[in-house]
This record gives sequence, C-alpha cells and structure tokens, in this order.
Amino acid sequence: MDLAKDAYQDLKNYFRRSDPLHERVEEIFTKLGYIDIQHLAQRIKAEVLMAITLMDNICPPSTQFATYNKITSKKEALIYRDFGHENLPLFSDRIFRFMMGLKD
Amino acid sequence: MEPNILIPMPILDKPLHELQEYRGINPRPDDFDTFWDKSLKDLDNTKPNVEMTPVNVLGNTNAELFDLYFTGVGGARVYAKSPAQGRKKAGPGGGAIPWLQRQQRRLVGQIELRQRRLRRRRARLPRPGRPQRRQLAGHGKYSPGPHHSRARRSAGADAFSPNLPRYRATRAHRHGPARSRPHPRRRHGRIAGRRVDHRLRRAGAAHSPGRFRLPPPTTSACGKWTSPRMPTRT
Repeated sequence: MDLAKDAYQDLKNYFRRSDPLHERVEEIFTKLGYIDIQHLAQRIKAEVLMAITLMDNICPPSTQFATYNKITSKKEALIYRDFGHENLPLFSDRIFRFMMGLKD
Repeated sequence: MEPNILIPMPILDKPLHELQEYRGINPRPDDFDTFWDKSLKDLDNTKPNVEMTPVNVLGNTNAELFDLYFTGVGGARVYAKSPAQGRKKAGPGGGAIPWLQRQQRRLVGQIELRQRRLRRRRARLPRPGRPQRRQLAGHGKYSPGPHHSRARRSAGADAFSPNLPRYRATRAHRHGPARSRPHPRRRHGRIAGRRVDHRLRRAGAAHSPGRFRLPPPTTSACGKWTSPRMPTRT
C-alpha cells in the first residue's frame, strides 16, 4: 500500500523538494510528532466508540490503530473490513445507542 | 487461535492481528506534554476577538459566507472562511462572476414571470363550480365557453396545464390545410374514385374495369422492343 498519497502526498512533496536524501527525516518527523494524534490519545478520559476501516487510503488502518491502541480510557472499536474513507452503514445507529448509553 | 488471521479479506496496510498491536513509529518529542500544557494554557488566556464579515459570493441566496478572523496561540491572527445556511437576498450590485449573476437573474426572472402569468390566468379563468359565463369579470378570450365540453367547462382553470402554451386557433385549424394542386407529372391519381397510374395513361394504357393493361408492344426502327412510355409514332 502506497501511503505517500492523498493525505500524505505533502510529506512526499516536501522531501522531494527540501530533503531528497532524507538526511533530516528524524528531525522532521519528531517535529510532526507535536501534532500527531496518536500522542494525544493518552489525554482522552471519556469513553470512546471508534470505527476503523481497513480499506482507507486517506486515514490508513495503521494510523487509526496506532491512535486507538494508545487510548487508555474505556473504548470499543468497530472494524469495517470492506470500507474506506466513506459513509459507514449502521454506524450512526451505533453512535446513537452509544450516546444513549452514556446518558444513563 | 487468532480469529481474524484466516479471514481472506483485502488488507491494504498490515494484517489485522498486527494492527491490533500496532502502536505507531513516529517519534514522540521529549517536551510533548510541556508543549501542549503551555499551548493550552496560552489558548485559555487568549481572547479570540472573533470577527465575522459577510461576503457576497455569486449572489447565492441559499447560503451565507463570512470572512472569519480570530486570534490563536501566540497572538497569531487566523483567517478562515465560514459558510452558513441562510436565505440572504442577493445584492443588487455585482459579484465575483458577473455573467453567472446575469444568468441567475434571468432564470429567476423567467420563473417569476411564469408564476405571474399563471396567477393571472388562474384569476381570469372560472373556478370549479362557478358559472361559466363570458360576462364574468376578467374572463379570458380563450376560457372555456359554451362550445367546450361539459367536463372542460366544469373543470375551469384546472383544465389548462400551466406548462403548455395556451391553445390559439390558426387559420389552418379553422379552415383546414390548404389544398395543393396536383403535380403535373404525378404518377398516381384517381379517376371516378378508381386509382390510376397517370404515367401509364399518358403512355396510352387502356383502362379496363378490372386492371390496367399495357398497350401492345411496338417495334422501333431498329427492331427492338421499346418502353410503352415512349410509344413509337407511326
């Protein structure tokens, strides 16, 4: 799977223009770590319901799981194997039930 | 047994059992928590000073667009465009694309004109259940009259489709199509109600009550048979 496209196309473009030999790759990705959601996941305190799609080119499954696996609060994942970055059937109902459960 | 290993599903990234343990490879900065604590504290102490200025874009009446400015972390002035649903009236002036506005105005004008005409026609036409007489105020020239069917007269304005042009009798409708003169070299015609072939008649074919018969073949000077259309003069 070529991850250097769609949402990550800019990373590829940046390295092609500014660092073709990837000499500063560690420094650049460390800087990007400040806004990496996976590092912020530990700050979540509420209960989480998350849908994960395995055919997603925009948010690849590894990025979704990297975040989900770092959530320390109570959590549940719904895995959509045949879906990409799109509308997910039944997920709205699950959200509704999840929110109703939180109300109790 | 891992429940998901044997399921033959398309996998674009990693196998599912690896993903369920995956925790990312991007390095976490050492001062990550310090950075975010400080940033969030700064954000709490920053007055946003939100400024929203409406923007007229393409004369769109179904949405409103705003230029949004607010102050972010570090005192940075952030600019964004903020759409909102609304029913703003298009300004009389121009927009970003004048020709598009003209097209839109023309379409809106056509719709309004059609609605106005429809209202006028409905007001003129008799309503169902009302007397269908010409002396009604505002009665139209082509409204259902005594010569129309009872169903149409009782239907009143509903008998007319708003999407169709009003029927207007032309000369051809009143008197029928103009009768054309027969072509001088026409092939078929009728004599006493019977269909005849004029070309054969001109060639000298005999007319019999049952069928047409060709004239007897004639011989030309060269001894060949000739067409009955061109009989040889003797």
